[in-house]
Amino acid sequence: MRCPVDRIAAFVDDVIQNRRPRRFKASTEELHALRVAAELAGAWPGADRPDRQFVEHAYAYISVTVPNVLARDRRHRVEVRRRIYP
Amino acid sequence: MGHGQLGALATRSPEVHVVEGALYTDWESIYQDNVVKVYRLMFSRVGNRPDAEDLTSEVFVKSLPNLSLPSPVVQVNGYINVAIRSVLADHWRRHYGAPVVDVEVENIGQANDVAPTTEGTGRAGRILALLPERSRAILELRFLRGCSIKEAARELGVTPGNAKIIQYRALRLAAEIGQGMLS
Repeated sequence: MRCPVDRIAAFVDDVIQNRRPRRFKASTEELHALRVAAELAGAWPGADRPDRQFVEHAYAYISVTVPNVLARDRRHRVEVRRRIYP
Repeated sequence: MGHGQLGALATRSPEVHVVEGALYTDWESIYQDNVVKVYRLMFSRVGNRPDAEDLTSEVFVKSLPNLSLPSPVVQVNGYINVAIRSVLADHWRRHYGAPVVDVEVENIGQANDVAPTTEGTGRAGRILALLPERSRAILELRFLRGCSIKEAARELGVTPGNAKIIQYRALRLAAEIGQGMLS
């Protein structure tokens, strides 16, 4: 994509619109600019509040991706229950 | 996970209560206690929702298999902090070719880790305050007021091409100021 000035401008356009930015191989200078742009985009009040649906769905996704997590959780609860109500 | 609980989770005040010797006894509590903190930290580093959501999930996928239950809260925070650094470093390496270096990130589990940012305060506010007027103006127009490059150019009385150059220089300057704050 064009020159550093345009690449950084496109990145800023994306983050202020809360879109996933285009990817490109950045120079060291561009990387510094990208990181500070991301930081500025994320710094305004309320901007960093997670979407409720994401919070709800992410645990289900994690449970599927790490299948032993839920299984281990269930096993642990059964063990605790057995200890309390033998 | 009940929706009522999640609703409370998404909106509750970001206070941190770490009791010495406290234990996590189930995965859901680990997730509930940390998901918002991890998300906010990720958002502050990537600046957009889709990436912040992906990276937040990745942090849990990476850290949970390394834990066993029950686990001390301090230990869980430690695993999550390691995963945050690794996931962020990988994000910048994979998508922007950044060299593999240790990423500077606040630890979750610290009292000030999720303090809400208010306009003009916080690191971003301090960086902006230290910029020359024109640099600060373009960044405020873009990031605070959400102006397009054309709108920002009009406000500054320059061409859109010039506004992009002013913005690029302003961001490089802001990065230098930010690095100076770390050292």
